[in-house]
Amino acid sequence: MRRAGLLCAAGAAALGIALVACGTSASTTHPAAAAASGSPAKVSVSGAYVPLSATPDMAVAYFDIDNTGGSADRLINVTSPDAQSAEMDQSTATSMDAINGGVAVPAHATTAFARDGKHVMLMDLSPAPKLGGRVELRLTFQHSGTITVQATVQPLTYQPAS
Amino acid sequence: MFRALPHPAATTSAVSTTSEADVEAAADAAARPFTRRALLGGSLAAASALLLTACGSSSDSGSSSSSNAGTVDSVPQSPYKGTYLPRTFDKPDVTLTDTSGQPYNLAQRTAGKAVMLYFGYTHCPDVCPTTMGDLAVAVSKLPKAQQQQLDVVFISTDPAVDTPKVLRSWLDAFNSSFIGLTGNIDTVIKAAASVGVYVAAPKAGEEPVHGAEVLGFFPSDNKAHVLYTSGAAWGDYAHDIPLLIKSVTA
Repeated sequence: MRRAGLLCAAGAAALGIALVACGTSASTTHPAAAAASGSPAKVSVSGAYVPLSATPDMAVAYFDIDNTGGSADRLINVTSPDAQSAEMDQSTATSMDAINGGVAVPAHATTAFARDGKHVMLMDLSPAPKLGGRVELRLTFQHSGTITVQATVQPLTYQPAS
Repeated sequence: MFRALPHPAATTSAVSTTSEADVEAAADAAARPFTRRALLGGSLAAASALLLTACGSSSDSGSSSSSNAGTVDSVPQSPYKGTYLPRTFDKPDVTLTDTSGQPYNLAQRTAGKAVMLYFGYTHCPDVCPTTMGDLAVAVSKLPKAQQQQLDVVFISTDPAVDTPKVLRSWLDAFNSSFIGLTGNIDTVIKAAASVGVYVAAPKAGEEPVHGAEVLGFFPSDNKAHVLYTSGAAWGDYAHDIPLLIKSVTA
């Protein structure tokens, strides 16, 4: 969003035209703008998977959160009864940071927890994940309550079709 | 354009103490203009040793999960999916410890081979294993003869945890021929800096630091010519490794 503004500002400065297009592209995904359309958040979770880990005590979970409703929601936390702990993290260029304060789930949009981005770090999964197995994830949202999904255990180098 | 890569402590506080909206916006702002920034960086930074740092900083608040914008050619005529560097870097002439516990001089032992070099740590949930996983998938697609002309080298940025044994076990999950090196962290930091890669010593209670990039070295001159960020896909490596093996210049 901010990037659209930035790029557009640059484009507009150079060309003097792009302002209308910029406004449109920014509003389609802006939570505040979407919330104005009224209907409640309608959240579902899909494509959850846990790749086999090369590190014995650590694994990671990825998934997509689809919000087809007209209002934004917020993912407050993720837990797993199969793990000693679960933590939402954001990868950075050279490390990662814990996500504090939850994750915005804008209306009419998919929020991805995916490679090299947001992910859930799972510590000490028990039993240890096995190919074809499942890891239970419980995602608690501010408005939509708790959604429980079974993440499938995938090969170490698995990548979902995009 | 040539912002220095922020100190990790600064990055941490910026991300963890601001609101989610800010985090998202920062990640968005940082990740998306990368293509443009890489383009400019590639064309303007020709003589600048700051290029790698500049590239790294462009996604310092997180990289886009779905795009591989970081691998868009910065030089249009380059045959590589990775970023063809306007300047080269010598392979670090550094002696570390390999996964059998023996001294290993990187420059000597890999001379005459194409090398993919990455600095990272094993107790890393996301970027380090996905980077090595992408390299592993790419290598697995190559004919055996080409595989033997390439060394994939992983240098630990968390040597206290990454003993030779831990490194071997971790790398074996990807490819048993991958080379793992560990040793004194100051030696590692110096070696990384010599190829423009920022890493830092682990601090208690903080997440360790991995390199923001993978470097591709030619067998002909043993210099780094191509750069990949965490947005690179395995297909980019699979495309480029045969070119690297032949030391194809842009």
